[in-house]
Amino acid sequence: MSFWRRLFGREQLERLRPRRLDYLNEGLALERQGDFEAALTSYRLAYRDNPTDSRILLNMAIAFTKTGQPEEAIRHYRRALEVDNSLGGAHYGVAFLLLKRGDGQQAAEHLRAFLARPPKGADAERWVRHAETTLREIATAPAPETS
Amino acid sequence: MSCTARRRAWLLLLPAAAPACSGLTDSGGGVIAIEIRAPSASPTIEVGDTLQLSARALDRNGDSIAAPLSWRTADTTITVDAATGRVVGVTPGAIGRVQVVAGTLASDPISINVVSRPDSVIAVGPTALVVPLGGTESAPLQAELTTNLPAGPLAGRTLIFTVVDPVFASVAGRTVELPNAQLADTATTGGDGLPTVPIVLRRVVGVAQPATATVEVRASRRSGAPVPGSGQRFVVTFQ
Repeated sequence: MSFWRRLFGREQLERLRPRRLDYLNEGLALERQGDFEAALTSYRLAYRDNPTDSRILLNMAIAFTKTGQPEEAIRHYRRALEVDNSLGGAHYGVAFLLLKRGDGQQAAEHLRAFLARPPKGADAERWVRHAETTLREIATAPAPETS
Repeated sequence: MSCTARRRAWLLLLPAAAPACSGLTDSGGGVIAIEIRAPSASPTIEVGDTLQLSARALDRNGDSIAAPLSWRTADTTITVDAATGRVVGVTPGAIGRVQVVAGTLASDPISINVVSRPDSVIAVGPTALVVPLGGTESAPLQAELTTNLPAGPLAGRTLIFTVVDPVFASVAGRTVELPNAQLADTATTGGDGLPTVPIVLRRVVGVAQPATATVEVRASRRSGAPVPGSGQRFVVTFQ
């Protein structure tokens, strides 16, 4: 018995290992259904399995934005950028949250980073134009008073 | 009804603006008190959870009287539907006060505790564990309970671990067990959202062992709804 177990042990272990679902896609599907709370759980599970996947953090940030938690969203965008600083979507998303918080300078930095590697695709031009316009508005806005 | 009798009735209720028999004023239409009915004197709800309050206007005899009632709160920690008295928890760790109003008469506020809602159960660490030959128990089965608002681990709540495979006809017939010689055990979460006491799966000494056993982890919200992520499984292989 022991011999057979040793012989087949690894294979058996592989077979018995709990199957990890594609939690990222599950989260995206839940988001499409509008269930952002459940989507966050799926993203957490996905992140547990792939802690270096910046897309998961990016999706968590988006879900936190949609559930009205901008500070958590900013934190997750920043964590995504720590993993992959070239993530244009994270620069774009965090920029507008920072701007809403009144942090124009940091927002401008992220918009510049976004525009340095502009996305390609059907909607890309609209995002690029919006980023450029916002950047100009930040540049022309009066500097906040310092005490 | 005598004054004493009326006061006794109000002890069961939440008194309206007038706290005692003397000085009772009529708000118009004969309403002198408002009774609020809640599940407890100080109900607790989770963020996003709802609580249905009800109320009735009372006349000077302590009898119900038809009168238009509306609900209100000055707090942002909860919302209340003015017409229905349906309360929703908004801010965790806070108290929200609700009043019901009839004409110029307002009830004393009822306080509602809002607590964090568990939003995710996450099995952390390995979910495939091996008990080596000669070993008696698995490494801890680690699961974390988290909340989205504020995002982070949730302390003081319960995780439930259950042996789902093999299926035993009775606890006495078990060949593996969770702590306390049970096939289902609960663990309270600590500040890190993990069980404060490690949950391990043990062999029962002196009986034939199964090759593997599966333990499921789950948690519930106060409403009884399962927390997303419930049902994740740990597979323990006994060598």
